[in-house]
Amino acid sequence: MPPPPDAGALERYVEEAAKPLGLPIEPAWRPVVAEHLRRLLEAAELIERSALRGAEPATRFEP
Amino acid sequence: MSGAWQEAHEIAASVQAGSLRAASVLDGALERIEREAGRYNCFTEVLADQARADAARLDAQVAAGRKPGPLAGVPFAVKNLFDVKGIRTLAGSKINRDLPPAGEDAAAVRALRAAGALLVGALNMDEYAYGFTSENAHYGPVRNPYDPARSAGGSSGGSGAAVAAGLVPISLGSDTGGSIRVPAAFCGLYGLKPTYGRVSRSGIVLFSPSVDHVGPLARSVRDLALAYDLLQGPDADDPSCADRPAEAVSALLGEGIRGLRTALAGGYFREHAEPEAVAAARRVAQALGAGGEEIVPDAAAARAAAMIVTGVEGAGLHLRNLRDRPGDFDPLTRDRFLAAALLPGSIYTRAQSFRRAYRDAVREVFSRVDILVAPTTPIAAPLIGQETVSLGGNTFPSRAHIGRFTIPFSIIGLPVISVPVRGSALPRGVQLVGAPFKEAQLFRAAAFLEAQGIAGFTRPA
Repeated sequence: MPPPPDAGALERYVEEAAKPLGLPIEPAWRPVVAEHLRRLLEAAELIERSALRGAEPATRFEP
Repeated sequence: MSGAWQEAHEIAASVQAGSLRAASVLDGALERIEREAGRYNCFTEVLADQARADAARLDAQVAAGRKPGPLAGVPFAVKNLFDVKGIRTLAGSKINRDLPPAGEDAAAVRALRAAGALLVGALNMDEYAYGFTSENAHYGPVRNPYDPARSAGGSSGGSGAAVAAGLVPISLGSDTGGSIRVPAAFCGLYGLKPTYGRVSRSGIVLFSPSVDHVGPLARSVRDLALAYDLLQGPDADDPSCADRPAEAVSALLGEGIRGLRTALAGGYFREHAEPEAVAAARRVAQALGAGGEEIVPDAAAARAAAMIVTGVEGAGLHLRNLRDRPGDFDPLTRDRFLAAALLPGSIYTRAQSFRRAYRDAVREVFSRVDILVAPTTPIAAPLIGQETVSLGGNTFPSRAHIGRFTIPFSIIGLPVISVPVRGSALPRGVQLVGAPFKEAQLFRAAAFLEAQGIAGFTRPA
């Protein structure tokens, strides 16, 4: 398992990643958004550790 | 005038028989709403004129000898993410105030009104259904009728409070990660999250399209069944709606639990919860003759996948407003949507892949049992503004922790009834979880528990 993400690095990611997406994230919001992002990344890690593997996503497209 | 605690089926029977006028029932409901709704902050709009017109039409129909519908004269209200013709569909937001009024009722609203029910208003909720406590920065928090200092649950908090306070006997909510079941549990009600695709979502503001469900809340199993039988069935206007015929449950409520295989959900569903929550689930399982425990494989990862799927789908729906007017969101909602908007797409796809494998694994469990029993929430209703909860030496963010036991079932669309378990100081709910499209088995079990006195609504003091 990778080390827990550094809070400062996540805040910098939030600041930089928001720019090309046009998301005006104010400096005061960044720590909170970064904390939510940390939880999402932890969630992603939990899925990676699962023994359950599915090749095909559960989304459905019907032409 | 009908009383606050009269059940929907009793009201309908009296109106159908001509011994009670719909207008009189409505006057009672509107008077109670006028007097008490402010205490719980549960209504965002009261539709008195429209309801009076509907009641007058219904009374004229009865007077003319025509048989009214199965919900004749029953007042009901809906979470304010359901379209109601002529009013703005707020979905708990400030942003949606700028939208034009809805051109027609949502399919679920149409179904109940066509059965003679009287729509009396729209109900407060978490902004865009993204929460478990209905603490809304724009419209204020919904307060719990059992203790107004506590949350009524969310995101369909107004739908819980309005029914528990005796303002209406039935309400509608939506459930993505627990948003019907949580307010049902915190407000001592029955709440149904049907199978994904069983009830049309046409005409609602979606939160996470691949996970959203619509369902009723009520004070009795019979009323819950009555509403569900009117709501279920295919709808070409909702692409997620299953093309399968309705399977009515009202006539099956007296069948008992013979032949139903029940198990208590173990492992994850016993951890990080108040002992009273676990004990309530055990009591329900015993009453249903549970043969043992079943482990739901990887429930923690399922909750993690749901967090990613719902966040990303919700962020996608609101991306334009997140760019153009982020300051108009409730901060509790906005900051989570923004985080999800920044997540790589590969993580969303991976979560969806896991979801399918998890669904298959849980299907295996349902080859051995018909009903799984689990607490609805790990805690009873928290105080409004409460940030954390301590359980067994661990501290959790209270709002997110509320969904611990509900999310692993809704992410794979299983039908669930949350039943109110008698005997605790604050209301508690227990989930009866079934295989896809097996709602009838859940209703039989819920009716059995109600008849045995294990489950049931208790009026707030």
